[in-house]
Amino acid sequence: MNKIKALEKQNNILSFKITLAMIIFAVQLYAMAMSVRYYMAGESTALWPAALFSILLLVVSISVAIFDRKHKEA
Amino acid sequence: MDKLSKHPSRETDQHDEGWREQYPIDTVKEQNQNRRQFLKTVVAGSALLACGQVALVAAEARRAQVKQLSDKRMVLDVNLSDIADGESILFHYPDEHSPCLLIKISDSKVLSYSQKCTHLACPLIPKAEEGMLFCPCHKGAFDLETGNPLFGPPKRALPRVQLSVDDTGLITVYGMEQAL
Repeated sequence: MNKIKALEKQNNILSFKITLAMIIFAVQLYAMAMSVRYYMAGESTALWPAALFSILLLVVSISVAIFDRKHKEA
Repeated sequence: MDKLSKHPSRETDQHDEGWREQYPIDTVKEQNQNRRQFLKTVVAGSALLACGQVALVAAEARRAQVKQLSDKRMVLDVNLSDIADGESILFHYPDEHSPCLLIKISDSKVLSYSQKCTHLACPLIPKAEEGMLFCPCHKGAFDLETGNPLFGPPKRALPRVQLSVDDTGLITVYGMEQAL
């Protein structure tokens, strides 16, 4: 029974990680679309913050993937 | 070679072995896109998007550098007396990728703006008789006198080109006011 609960917990954690990664991807995609739009219109003030924000999200996403790998190995 | 797995719907196929020898693709392995692989794919996609953002910043920095370098005085090769009232001419300033419009209202009044719409950079069409610059892409318009958006998707004013006209009608462009 405990084994089943542990498996369920593991499954929920993996689902949460995938959901988080997908949300991060969606936000990055939106930021990219907005940046392209502003770039095309010659507006540059929002490009730097958007790039930093995207890199920050990427770090979070990679951390999730690394955490998942360690979890899998354990 | 290991024995290849069969697709459930092809278990009874009598001619299975023939094509399997020619196309030795394992059905189960081919369809084995598990959740952890999907997670890796999403993270790789995030990395690509972040690289794209950095590339955009680099492209913008380069564009700003080019503009700064070419922000100089330029004499247009057309005289004001050659342009009729209400007529417009196209020129490029400060670089060859930046089209601008010069519109002659009267002998004493000449206006000039960037031709790129501030919405999605479509080329604007001057309509002097209606007092506006029209964007045919998304039906937007700017006021001819001020460069402010009149209607449609554009929210920001057009960058105005600074120019001077001397007594002989020689037109000199010397800068561009960035729209607020």
